[in-house]
Amino acid sequence: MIELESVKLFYGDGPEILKDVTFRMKAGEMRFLTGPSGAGKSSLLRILFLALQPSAGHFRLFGSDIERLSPRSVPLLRRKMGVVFQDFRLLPHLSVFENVALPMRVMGRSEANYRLDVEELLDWVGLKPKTRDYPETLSGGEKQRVAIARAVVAKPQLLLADEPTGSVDAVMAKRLLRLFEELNKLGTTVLLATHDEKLIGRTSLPVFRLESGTLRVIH
Amino acid sequence: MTVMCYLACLALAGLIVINRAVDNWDKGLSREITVQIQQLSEADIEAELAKAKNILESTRGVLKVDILNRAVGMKLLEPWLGKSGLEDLPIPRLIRVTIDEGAPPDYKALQANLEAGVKGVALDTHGRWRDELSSAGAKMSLLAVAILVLIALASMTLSAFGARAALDSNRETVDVLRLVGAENHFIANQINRRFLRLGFASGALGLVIAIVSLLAVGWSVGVATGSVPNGSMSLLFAPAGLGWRILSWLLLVPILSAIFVAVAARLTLMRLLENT
Repeated sequence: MIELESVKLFYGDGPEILKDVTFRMKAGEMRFLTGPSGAGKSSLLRILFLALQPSAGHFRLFGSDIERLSPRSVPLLRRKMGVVFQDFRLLPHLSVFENVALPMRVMGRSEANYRLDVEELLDWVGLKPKTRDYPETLSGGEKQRVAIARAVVAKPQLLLADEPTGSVDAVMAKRLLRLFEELNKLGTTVLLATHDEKLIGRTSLPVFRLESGTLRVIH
Repeated sequence: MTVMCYLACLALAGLIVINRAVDNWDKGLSREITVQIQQLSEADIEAELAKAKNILESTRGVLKVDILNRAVGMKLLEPWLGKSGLEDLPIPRLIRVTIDEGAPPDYKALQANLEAGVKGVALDTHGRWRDELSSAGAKMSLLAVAILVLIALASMTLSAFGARAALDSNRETVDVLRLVGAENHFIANQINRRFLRLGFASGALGLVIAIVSLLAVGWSVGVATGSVPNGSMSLLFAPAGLGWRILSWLLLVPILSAIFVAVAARLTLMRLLENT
């Protein structure tokens, strides 16, 4: 599913943000990516969801060599992924329902086709009463749940989440972790970037630890 | 865009009015010919008029022959020579001939017959006038079409700049759409819908203002007195007015405006999205 070999990332003549990062994730795996702030977690995730090109090294995703990927293939690969951004990236002019349904619309599905799925998901993340509200009226935690619902609504093959529980309380964090585990059981490969050690301690999942741009695997 | 659509409506209305006016003039001129008989000293003008009338009435394709009295000829010369002293001048006499447009007479044969039987006769088929009017009308039509093309190009250029600005101001939305797997045409569609609405709305507003302007022009022509400039305006506008035919053509402006604006915006958006 994900293969990184000696991947480096640097901007211009600046310092290396990622140094020879090598790891593999098979389909159906679930892992944490942890490390202190500024270690390069978000940059690594940006490479994984094709928003950044590695400065050096090889990167294969869903069996495709990313260096040889045509620009037209990028959207099709992204449709296989769900991404939760640390800054949520909700569209302010769309309601909660419309934000969550966005990946379905992008895939050309009709509202009748996805309405029940979206409503069920919003119920699961506790946002059913806020279905018609707009992002500016939501709290940070609510926005995070909308972002998570949007990332998982299309049942992606790969879920990448950057601090997915950073703005929610412990009860909701546990509930969201269960959601990710349920998705994983259904076959979705999950990589959760977090520095929440408590969240990591709740599971026995393998952990990638990123420190100063170097990745270590902790079992 | 409203201003562009307003100007497009005026240019289109102008084009239709010119075409209709030329058509009307052409029909009027081709329905009639004029026979002119000069007053020669050795000839009896009334006898020559009678001979000409006989020849005309016996010609196939002639429907009606009217000998105009001397006063009509004097009236026609008044604007150039004034009223006084016209009685003493040897003013030519005129015969108005109505012809069958479907089966007009053989003008060469008619001219030969008239010249053989009537002294001082001249036949005017209005051909020179018709050619000049057609030529002037065609030039004015071409100018109106050129103005319409320029307006369309200017509107499309404005729309292209607008699309670029819209893309810049919606960069965040575009990024999110891309990250959830949207292809360029989907992103372009989201922004393009606004341009389609904008094109149609500004076109409709331009149309309304243009209709008000044309009605105002029609009204001012309607109250015109008999002065020469007003007379010319009546000649130009009165046959057309703001009828259903013009209105139906003008209704095309908001539709075409929306299409031009949306096409230009889409082409620009697709080019920009493919390069970013």
